[in-house]
Amino acid sequence: MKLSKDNPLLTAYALGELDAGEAAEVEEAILADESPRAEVEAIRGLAGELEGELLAEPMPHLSALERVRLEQLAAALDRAAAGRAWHSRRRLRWAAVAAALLAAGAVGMWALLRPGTPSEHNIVIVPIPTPTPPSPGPHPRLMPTPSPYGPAPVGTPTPYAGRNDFFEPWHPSVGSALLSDSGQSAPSTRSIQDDEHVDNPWVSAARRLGSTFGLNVGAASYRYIRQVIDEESRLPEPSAVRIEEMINYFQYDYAPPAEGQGPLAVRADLAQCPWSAGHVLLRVAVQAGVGQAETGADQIVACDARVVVTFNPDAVASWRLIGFDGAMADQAGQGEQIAAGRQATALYELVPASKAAQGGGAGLAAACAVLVEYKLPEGDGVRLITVSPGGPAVRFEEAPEDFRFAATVAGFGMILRNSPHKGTCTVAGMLRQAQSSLGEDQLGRRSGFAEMLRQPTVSWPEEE
Amino acid sequence: MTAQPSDNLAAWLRKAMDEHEGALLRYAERILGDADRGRDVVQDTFLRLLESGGGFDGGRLAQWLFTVCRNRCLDVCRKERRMTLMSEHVERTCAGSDLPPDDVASGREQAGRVSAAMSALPPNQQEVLRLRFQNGFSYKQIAGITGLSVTNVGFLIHTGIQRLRKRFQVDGHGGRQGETR
Repeated sequence: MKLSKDNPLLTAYALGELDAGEAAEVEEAILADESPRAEVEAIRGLAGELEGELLAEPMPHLSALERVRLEQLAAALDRAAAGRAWHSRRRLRWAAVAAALLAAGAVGMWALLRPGTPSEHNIVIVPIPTPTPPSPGPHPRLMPTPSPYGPAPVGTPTPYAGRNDFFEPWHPSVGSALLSDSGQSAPSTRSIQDDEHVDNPWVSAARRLGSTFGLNVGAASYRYIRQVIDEESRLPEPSAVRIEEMINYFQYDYAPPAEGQGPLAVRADLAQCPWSAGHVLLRVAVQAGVGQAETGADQIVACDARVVVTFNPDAVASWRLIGFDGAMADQAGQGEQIAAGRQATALYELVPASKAAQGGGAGLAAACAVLVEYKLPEGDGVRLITVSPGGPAVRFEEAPEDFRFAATVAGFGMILRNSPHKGTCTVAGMLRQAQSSLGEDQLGRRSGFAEMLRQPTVSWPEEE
Repeated sequence: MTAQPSDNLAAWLRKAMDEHEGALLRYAERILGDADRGRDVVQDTFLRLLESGGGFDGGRLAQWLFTVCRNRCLDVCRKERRMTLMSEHVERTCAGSDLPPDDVASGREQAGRVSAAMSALPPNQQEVLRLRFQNGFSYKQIAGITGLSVTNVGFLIHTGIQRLRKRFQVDGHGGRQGETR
């Protein structure tokens, strides 16, 4: 056998890739001729050098947080499969896994949705294990809320003191990825004036399990609305109406975090949607604790805080984030600093899946999970809070006063935006709802809102 | 690496990540030309591993992970190319071939002289060379990962090495006679 320099067999031989028979043939050729032997040595020399250099290249790592999410999913799968034979949990579909975890009370869910990955597979769901209840019985989070004013179901923060390289910026486009999938139903193009005036569209929970929103929302839009209605007796331009800024202008009576529970209290509640029969509203409320120091400046109690809401596609057919429209969505999900006493409220409108809708949304207790991650300013690692609604959707009239008021503000905002989602909202109806949910209203802001809705000199939109 | 996760999926996953996350991140970043998207793909790859239920021995696990990771990367490239023809960034990082030019992914790395020279090779040669010399895969495993035939893999590696040798005029004893251009 004669081997030319250009024969790939020589390289394969030099790298030990040939089987015994082939190798023997090459060896025979090498013995007969010096040139292929030198060739083999040269190949090995270069291969050795290349290997040395490539092996010395820096080795990246997943961040500790990324690893924790994956490990927690694995741990939850272990729990979900406990008592079952291994083979029975093979080939689990993710939607089924998510539903099973929610039903099993493993309420923390993480859906990390990035652009550029095909739709049916681009879902990362990582449940955060919740502490095992000391005694058997129904999972505390699945029991009905005792009273609308009952204590907020506060999740247990889980410090993770691993590698400290996990404070990476959230992917800048995650917000839009979460909120503007190409597979969604197209938003109505009715009375669009600019991008910001396009309401977030309905999103199929089967396509997108997760959503996020910003925790530090300003109030400029609400102040502007009041100014033009009260002082100029006209309606604001729809694109100037930012519902999240309206909702978050008001103070809500959220329970602060309990002693030793970390700087943030998170709660999630469900109520029937007052403007669309059969729909359900989800309220997510975050309340930062009050700091110790009174220096005048805002004391930061939490850093790199992000919230992710995940929906169980078995219980929720589709969902819609109210407000946070257009460009705002791009900023959502970025790690934010949270000042002492800060509140954040977000509302989602949900269409229950058909089987969950039976019994007026009673099957919706496992509709969603809210994950908030943050770190302390001292920086001892990422902490996670996971919360799910304390019970099934209550009738709107039975929802907490703060919830009803926020929904009323949202309804008024939809009217001003001439939103395709406003349903049966009317100014008169919003006024009635506002008057029945004024609460203590220490700052007088809620009564100011009601007053605005009574403005006689404004020509309110015609009601259908 | 145990063949099967048995009763502790979490520990099994942790071990799989310990052993393979770095190599996969390096691989994905090189294909995508973007570390963040590489991280997404690698996390997704481990998710797929959980979904698969395991059942691989050590060598097969590595090959499986690289195969899935590669397919996910190419999906990302395909989708981004399809969806965002207007996006120059995507065109820069994903267009043209399966792999970006070496310097896109590793411009900030302190490359050795041979691996630096490797960036002049066609992407498919770079990929198989890395799979062979950085990740220790056999021709057969590389064929499994890339979907090429074993013969094709052998040809690409052979050609790649020959071109690098020409660049350096490495003599028969592994010594160097200086870089030529």
